[in-house]
Amino acid sequence: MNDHAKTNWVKNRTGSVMNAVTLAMLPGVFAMAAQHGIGVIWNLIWLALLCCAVEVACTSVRYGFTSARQRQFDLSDGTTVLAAVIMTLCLPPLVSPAILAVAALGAIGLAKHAYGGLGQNIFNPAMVGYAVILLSFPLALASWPAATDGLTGATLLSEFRYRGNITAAEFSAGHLGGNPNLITAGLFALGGAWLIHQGVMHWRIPVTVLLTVGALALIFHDGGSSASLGSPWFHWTTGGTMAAAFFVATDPVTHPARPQHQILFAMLIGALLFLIRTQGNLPDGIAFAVLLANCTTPLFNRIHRQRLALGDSGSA
Amino acid sequence: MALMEAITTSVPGLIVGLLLFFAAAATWLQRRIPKDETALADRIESLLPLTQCAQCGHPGCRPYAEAVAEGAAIDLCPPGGPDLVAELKDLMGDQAPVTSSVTAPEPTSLVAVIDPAACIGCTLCLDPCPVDAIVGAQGFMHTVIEKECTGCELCIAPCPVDCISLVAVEPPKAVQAPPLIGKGCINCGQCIDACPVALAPDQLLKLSAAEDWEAAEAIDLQRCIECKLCDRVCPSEINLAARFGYAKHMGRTQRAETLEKNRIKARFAAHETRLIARQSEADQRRAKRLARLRPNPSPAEDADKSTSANTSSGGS
Repeated sequence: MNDHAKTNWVKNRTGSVMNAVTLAMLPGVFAMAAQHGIGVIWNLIWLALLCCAVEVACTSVRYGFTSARQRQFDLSDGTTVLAAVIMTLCLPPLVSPAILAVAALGAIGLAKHAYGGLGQNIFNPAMVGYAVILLSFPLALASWPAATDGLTGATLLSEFRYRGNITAAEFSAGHLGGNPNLITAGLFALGGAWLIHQGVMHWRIPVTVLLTVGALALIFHDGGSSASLGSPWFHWTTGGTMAAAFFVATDPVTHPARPQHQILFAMLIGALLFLIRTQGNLPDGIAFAVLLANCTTPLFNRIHRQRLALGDSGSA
Repeated sequence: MALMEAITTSVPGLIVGLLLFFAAAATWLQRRIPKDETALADRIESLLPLTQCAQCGHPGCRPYAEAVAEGAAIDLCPPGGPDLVAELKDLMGDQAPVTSSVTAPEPTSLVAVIDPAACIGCTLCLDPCPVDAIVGAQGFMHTVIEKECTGCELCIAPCPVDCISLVAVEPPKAVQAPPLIGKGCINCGQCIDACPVALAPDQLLKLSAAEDWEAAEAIDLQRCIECKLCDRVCPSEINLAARFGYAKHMGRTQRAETLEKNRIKARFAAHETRLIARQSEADQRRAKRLARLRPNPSPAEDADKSTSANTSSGGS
């Protein structure tokens, strides 16, 4: 067991765990850049710099200008850059640095350090950062450039949002004709699969999220008429579903400890994601689905401790 | 179709109506639940040092707890010291009445000691002891059971030869909390797999950080063998075993304190019962004697006699 921990370079250090997640997301981010332009990389660099600046400022305020050894939390844990990468996935290219600064403050300052730093936060920092700017600057975050999928000025998902439906013909025209969105989603899935193979995360949360979204889409799918709510394939491959399932819902800090609870938590994310997409008026549902599900984690962990006290270890 | 529309338009009204109904029902139910009058006094009593010294002017700690619950001053307990005043302030609010602005002196732990050469065996100190910690008989030397003595000083005044003195007890050595080493816990769960005695180190760590020793003991903290296997696998390099060692100590101390307090309460209750029983026995004997001396006393005179007898014996 120890030898395993020593030889597995990914699980050996908190920093390497987080850096591995970042690494697993990068192919998807580059595919996004290929799809939407170099502005995605611009967002990523600005967000990474701003998040690191907020992190350093917060740790300095909290611990004084002491040496890194005396600090409990610093950049070496890798979560700061990870939050920046996750936020990049949600944003349209070329967002103003001022807005990105608000996102960095929300993610690192509000969601992470105001709660006591790494491991103490209830909510996923990246999703808090994104939610703050989504509610504050909705117009700036809705300005996706003309996409190559034949639907100008909007992603498939926002087209779906504005019209309330999408026909099977339009959908397949967009996707089967070599849509880069499919490549992006596929690369995220591959990155997630690598992380699962490395033992950084368990398959049960991403698979449950995707299955729940798929099952709900299947139930309400009517074969692609104009009143359709979208097929499972549509919901899996558009927006941030893949990235959310593999990299956001699996944030170990904000998901429940007990395996059975993780399944319920993932089902909640999937159900909320589908509900917000089809019934809400937001461009995508991942941020609020994840944040609402995060609210349940302390309750699940409370039940977990009560079950432990009754002698039920709950290991799956 | 018209029916469908009617349902859709009336849904918001229905939801508001349901909420109002639930609010009303909850309010009504809350009124139906009888108020727990003793809950507050119980909580206050659990904070008191339970020396039963009566220095507050109440005959024991329970009566003082009840008085504080009714609004008595919170700084009347010298053995509790400033810590107790602070704790009671937390419980009763900043507006809780105090008698003086002077900070209470830091209490020292005391026990009574009888000078064997000077003791004349008069038994006068036996009854005032609220926890029956003094043993002895008429004409024989008395001894204080050190383990039971609360240091209340109530035996000092009755001693006709001033042979009882109070000596300070060495306070138990305080165990230093271990330094907080490592980054934040990211709930990776590797410590759960590593633990050879199948505990949940992740949950124990959180409860230890919150200093909730009781909850930590409920999930088998004391079964931790401090083998440090969790330390070795922790990617955040947290000193889990050292923190668990400290938590075990604190848990044991807290449990011992609770047991000690319960024993003092039981001994005080036994003491009270014994005094009351002896008093009623004495009253019965006196009544019998009176009946023998005066076969037919007038009822009014008899009532007068017994009252005066009660007051005189109560004062001794």
